[in-house]
Amino acid sequence: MVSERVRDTIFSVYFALFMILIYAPFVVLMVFSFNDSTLLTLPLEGFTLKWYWKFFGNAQAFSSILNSLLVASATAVLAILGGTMAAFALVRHRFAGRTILQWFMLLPMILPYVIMGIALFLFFSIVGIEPSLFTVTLGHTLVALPYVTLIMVARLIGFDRSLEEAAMDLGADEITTFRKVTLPIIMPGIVASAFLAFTISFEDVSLAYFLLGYERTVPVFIYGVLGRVPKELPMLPAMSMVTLSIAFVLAIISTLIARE
Amino acid sequence: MKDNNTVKERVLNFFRGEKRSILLILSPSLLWYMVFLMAPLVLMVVLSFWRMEDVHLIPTFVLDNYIRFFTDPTYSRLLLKSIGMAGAVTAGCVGLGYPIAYYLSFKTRISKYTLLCLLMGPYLTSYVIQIFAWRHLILSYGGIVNTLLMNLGLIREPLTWIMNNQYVVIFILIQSWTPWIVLPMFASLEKIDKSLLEAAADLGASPMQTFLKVTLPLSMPGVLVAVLFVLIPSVGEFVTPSWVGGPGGYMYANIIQASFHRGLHWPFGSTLTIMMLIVTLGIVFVLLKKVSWEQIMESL
Repeated sequence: MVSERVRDTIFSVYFALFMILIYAPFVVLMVFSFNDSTLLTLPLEGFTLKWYWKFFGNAQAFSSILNSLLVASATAVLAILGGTMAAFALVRHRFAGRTILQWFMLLPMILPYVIMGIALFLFFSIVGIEPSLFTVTLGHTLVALPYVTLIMVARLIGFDRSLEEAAMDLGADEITTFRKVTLPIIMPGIVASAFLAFTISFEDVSLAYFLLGYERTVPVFIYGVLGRVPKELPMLPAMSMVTLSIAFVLAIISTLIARE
Repeated sequence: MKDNNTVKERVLNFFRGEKRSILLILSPSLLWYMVFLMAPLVLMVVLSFWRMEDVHLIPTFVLDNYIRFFTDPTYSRLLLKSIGMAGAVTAGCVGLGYPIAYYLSFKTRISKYTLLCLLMGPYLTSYVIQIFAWRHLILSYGGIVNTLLMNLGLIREPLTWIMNNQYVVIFILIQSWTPWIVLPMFASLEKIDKSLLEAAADLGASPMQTFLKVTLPLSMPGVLVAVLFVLIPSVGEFVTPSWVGGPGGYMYANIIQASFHRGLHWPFGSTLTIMMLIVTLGIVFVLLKKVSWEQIMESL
């Protein structure tokens, strides 16, 4: 019989090894982003910041970060509006077809991105909408909607409605009640949804690949460089680090807001 | 008496009818689903019956594309192979991820939620970044693995079989998906009433028996959600195989991608996509029979 203690140690070691495995690519990227060589091989040649300058000086690469931020922010706003409203309907009302609707709303979360990507690509082509950051935002909002709806439903299920009734009894109208009572209570859910919707859009390559026009988002830019433009390869570690830092800062900000 | 005729009051009264307000708050997302999901899918079905003449789409109703799919075994074989690869990825993810979820739920003395956040860290950015690191820095010809092994004197020539095959695709998908599917399994382990485990121990069950007879069955719904979360996207994966798969690691979604970008054959591409849609929906229906909606909700 293995003792409890030994088993706990095995689990801890396993967890540590697992963390090393999933963070290894990022550690390697960070090291190479400062490496003074055009070759992406060992041995390391010394410290430099030139890849970061190269990245900031590369108009296409730099603007892809701005594009990503724009698309992801727009996605978060649209998905929160639609998803929160739908969540209110699902939690607070009983109506015919509610169960079917609940499952139907999970569809974009369950289908492979490539299917939605192709279908939307065909749709926009035939309707005559040029592929652009706008079409990507429409697609990203679709895939973010189920996640926001689920998070908001979870938040609303635990919502004590007598608080709203109390406000109404005290003479507040619906708008005031929503602003002063409902909104503050569901705020943590909204922040979590915003972060998740933003991230879904920010990291997506499979859907954006089919919907983007000339202007690209970060993952699609990197996807393209991997295939065609080896000249820009040495800059990618630096670019990855910048992207990661941005996402990391946003994660911390949203955690801080959610705590308040 | 209160004046009921101000604009604000009239607007509020309109919303006070229950049916109207349900319809109203559902309409934005329903509209979105109808225009950007259902309409495109229907269009794709229609298009799969069209023909191509040179570079022109001919609206018609022919079964050519489906006949081509079923008479040329390349396509169904590739679809089967992709499902097999996705199955391997799923098995790997659940196998590696379950102990992590178990550790987080039962074993750790550090804050569970700090560790969960740490686990989710890689999802802040696209997995394209991880693929880049594996392809160009770690597993490449002059990459870290080869350099280390050569310096240690274990090999003389750089290994080439560690890149461009289906096993690398499976490995990279496993390492990038596993943290994500820890969440549903963790959620269902957390829900287990710990007194049940104590009861089992009091009745003389060994830790192993307790795990197999109590913990594992009770966490099965979480495992099924995890399977759903990784199996479906893996079947439709085209990004990873296109950069680390080589010719042997190509997956079904790669030919879909090719028929739209290089081959420019939209009707046949639609047929290929629809066949994948049918397979995916089949898998989803089987899995969802055993999973509740609430289970999925709690997994986020």
